[in-house]
Amino acid sequence: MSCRNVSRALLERFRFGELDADCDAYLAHVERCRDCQDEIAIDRELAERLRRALRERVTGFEPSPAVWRAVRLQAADPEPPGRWSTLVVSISRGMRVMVPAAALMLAAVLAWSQPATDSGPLLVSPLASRMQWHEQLTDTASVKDPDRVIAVIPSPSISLPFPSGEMAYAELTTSRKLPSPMPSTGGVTR
Amino acid sequence: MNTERPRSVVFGTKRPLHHGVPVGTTQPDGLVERMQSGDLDAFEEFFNTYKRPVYTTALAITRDPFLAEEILQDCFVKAYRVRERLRTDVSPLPWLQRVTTNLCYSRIARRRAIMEPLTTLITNVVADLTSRPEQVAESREIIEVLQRGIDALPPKQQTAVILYYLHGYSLAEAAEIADCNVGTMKSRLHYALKALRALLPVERRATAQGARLAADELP
Repeated sequence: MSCRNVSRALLERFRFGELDADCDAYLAHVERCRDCQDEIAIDRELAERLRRALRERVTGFEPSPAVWRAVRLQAADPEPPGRWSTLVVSISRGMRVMVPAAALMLAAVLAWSQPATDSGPLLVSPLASRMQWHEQLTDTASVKDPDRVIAVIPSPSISLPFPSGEMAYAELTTSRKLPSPMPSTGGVTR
Repeated sequence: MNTERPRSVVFGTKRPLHHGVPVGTTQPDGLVERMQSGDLDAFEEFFNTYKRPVYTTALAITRDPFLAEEILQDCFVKAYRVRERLRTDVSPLPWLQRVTTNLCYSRIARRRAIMEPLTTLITNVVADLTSRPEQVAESREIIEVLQRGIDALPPKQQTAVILYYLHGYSLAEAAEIADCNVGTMKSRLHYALKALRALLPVERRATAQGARLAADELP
């Protein structure tokens, strides 16, 4: 029986307190062999110093009472959302911004790429727009019940020249009804 | 080597304590059930019952009291949030310790670079006054070497050493906490001790043998 075999077999058993009847032969060897005794002694000394080193790490420390207050506070909070729900929320948030932006970009690209002659006036010219507005205004100011009208007094019309120097595109007139004995003179345009 | 995996280890009936940390933390009657029903007083009792071993593990691994408190807090918040899934027939301590070690190593991975070993301060203060000065110095040196050696161990070996040598858990209990079999736990402890022993000065690795040889040389 060599010391190497004894050491292998016995060290763990000594270390973990698992000596039993199967160890008798090894123990008999250890009683005579000082090298094996030394090995076991060194192992025990190391274990004892290891315990001491570990105890020094924790001796004198206690968890603060504030820890319980923090635990209770956090435990009272609703459970945070899981990973998947967080992902879904972030995707939906992104979609809310990206979809309108993509639609606007698509519309802009389509308007830019298609000529106006092919598809009609996609963009209404400023002049046509103002003309339509003028017609609507005239209709609104038209007399519905001529018998009840006493007089129609025209308001001053305004002609706005274009910056380029062209003539006025339209005459802006408004009218309102006033009770007056004077005969109507009709609209006067300056 | 025993390779059977422990399934239902009864905690708290094993070895004596040396460091004041309760090994025998069995589950008080109906504590988890009361906690599952939303009883915050039961949760406080649960916290007070298990906070010490959890904090000790966190502190032994991280060596940072503040980080250990954060880990303690996270561990119990997690326990409360998954209280419906906690088993009521066994002690929750192995589960708590497993969560703690996982939290420790995930935090350490982020903070290792700035960690300062606080035990340097402590170990310089604590001294064995009954020993002679040269013995104290030698002992301090060895403890310091061991502290650095423990820090340098791989996480699984470090956990094994803390569970077995600090908490005093049995092999089966430590294996249950580490979620491995008893043989694996023995192996981790063996390699941890081997690595620590290699760090010791040569004269300390064979103290008894050297002393005997020196004695033999005397006339």
